[in-house]
Amino acid sequence: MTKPEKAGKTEVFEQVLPLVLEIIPGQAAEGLIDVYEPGSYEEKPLRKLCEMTLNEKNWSIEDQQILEDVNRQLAGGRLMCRGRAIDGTALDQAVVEETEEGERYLYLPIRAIKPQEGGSLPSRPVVRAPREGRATCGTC
Amino acid sequence: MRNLLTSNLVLKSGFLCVPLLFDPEMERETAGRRAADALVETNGRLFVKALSLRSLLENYERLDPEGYRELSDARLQGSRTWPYAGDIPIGGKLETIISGVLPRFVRRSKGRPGRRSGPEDILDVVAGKVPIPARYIEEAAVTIDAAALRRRLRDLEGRDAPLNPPDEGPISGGDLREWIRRMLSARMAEREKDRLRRMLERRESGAGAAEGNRLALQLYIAAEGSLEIDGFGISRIGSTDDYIAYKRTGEYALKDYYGRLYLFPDCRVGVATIVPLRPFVMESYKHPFLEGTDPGQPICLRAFQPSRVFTAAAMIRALEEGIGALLHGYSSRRRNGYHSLDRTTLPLWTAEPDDGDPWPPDYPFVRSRLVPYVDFEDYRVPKDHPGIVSGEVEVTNDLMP
Repeated sequence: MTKPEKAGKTEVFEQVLPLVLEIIPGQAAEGLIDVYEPGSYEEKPLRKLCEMTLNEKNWSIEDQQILEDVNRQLAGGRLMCRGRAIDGTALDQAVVEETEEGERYLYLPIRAIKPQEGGSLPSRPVVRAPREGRATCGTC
Repeated sequence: MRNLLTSNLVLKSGFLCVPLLFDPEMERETAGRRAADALVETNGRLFVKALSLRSLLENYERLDPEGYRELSDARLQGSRTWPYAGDIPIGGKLETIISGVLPRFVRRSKGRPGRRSGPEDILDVVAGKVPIPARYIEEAAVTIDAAALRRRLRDLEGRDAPLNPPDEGPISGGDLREWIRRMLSARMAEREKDRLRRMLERRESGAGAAEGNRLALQLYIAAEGSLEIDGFGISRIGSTDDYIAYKRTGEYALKDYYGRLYLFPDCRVGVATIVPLRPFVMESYKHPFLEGTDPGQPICLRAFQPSRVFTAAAMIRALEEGIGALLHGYSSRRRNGYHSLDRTTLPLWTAEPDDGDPWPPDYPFVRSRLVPYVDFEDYRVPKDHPGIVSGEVEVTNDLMP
């Protein structure tokens, strides 16, 4: 895997790159894609940008299905960017990518994840230390 | 449904009437109502209107999915209208995975958005990425050859004579089952004819190349038994029409109670097409949500009811829940799971099934047997591990409360 090139504020301001924000439901490969032109996103908090994207109304029918999927994940779930909370601005987390035509842009994937709390515990411990080797999951 | 169709029934005005249980009180109550539409008296026994025959046929696929599938497979094998890869029939399950599950996990292309492509397009993308041997392409071309399609269409058109509804009055379970089987079979033939007509149209309008690519891809997977693309894979189970669809997790890191990091290797989370659809890890692997380290262990999930009907949506859900649990489900604070990442001296949890304590309602059942102790020290990595610092490896349970 090649190391992603971090955006870096100075470079982006110099290059004036558009931002491609993709909100992906769960473990899907593709999500809802929104493009912010230079000047429209740099100072806005990332969370605000995500809200703007999710509140847009003019999605195609296919995109609306993805939006529904994202909203399903967000019921009890949260938006995450590379395993972290979506704090700061897009420039803190975006990476520079290039289209096949050589057009450079900033790319920021956000995942809507509803965690599966596998293996949760019963309400009280009963006994047994792991060193002695024994425990049970209690859920499945 | 199968039990219902083993009893003796009565058919009246397109409705199936089931025997009314004998009860003297009910006998008195119904005495004045025998002429009413709801009750039928035959050979001294009372039957009550229960089910529309038409509705039963329309919804049979949902009422008895396994029975429908058996009938459907027999129909396809009997008519040989579907291609075979050697001795392996390319049935509905592979088709469902390729057209319903794969598009969810394989990325078409990166970059700025253009026209969003549909499931049909992704098969072209996959067919374009996988080097399919020439013999499958040739076989696919023969299968969708216009002349062969016409021949198969003619065969089907001459096969099924129109069926009349069964006579009104008493009907045995066996006769009714046979009639339903023939009706469903005729309907499947109609669908197959529609499919062949559509293929012919596409072939004649010049869109046959893409069709050929997709079919060649299916033949290739069925014959070779496996395919992997962008971390999503399909693997056939033995010489059957059953498959495992899997998705790789990639490397990820989990945090323990003390904030220390553990680097987990890539693994394949799979779901077989055999119901119930339950996610498991395909290789030998260890994780707090796996009981031991053997290959094929089911992932411990909470509030998850595995689907008993095979559909693309149910497979996607099972895969997502499984991956979600491995990556995001472990709480460093609560140390949930069979095992704790850190070597805690606190007691872990064992469960006695009869200790009388109320359990949370979403605990399906409690295991009473013992599980082996699994140690994760060999997965420990420093916080400045190059993969984690560069962002290539994510700490995926950071936000789990």
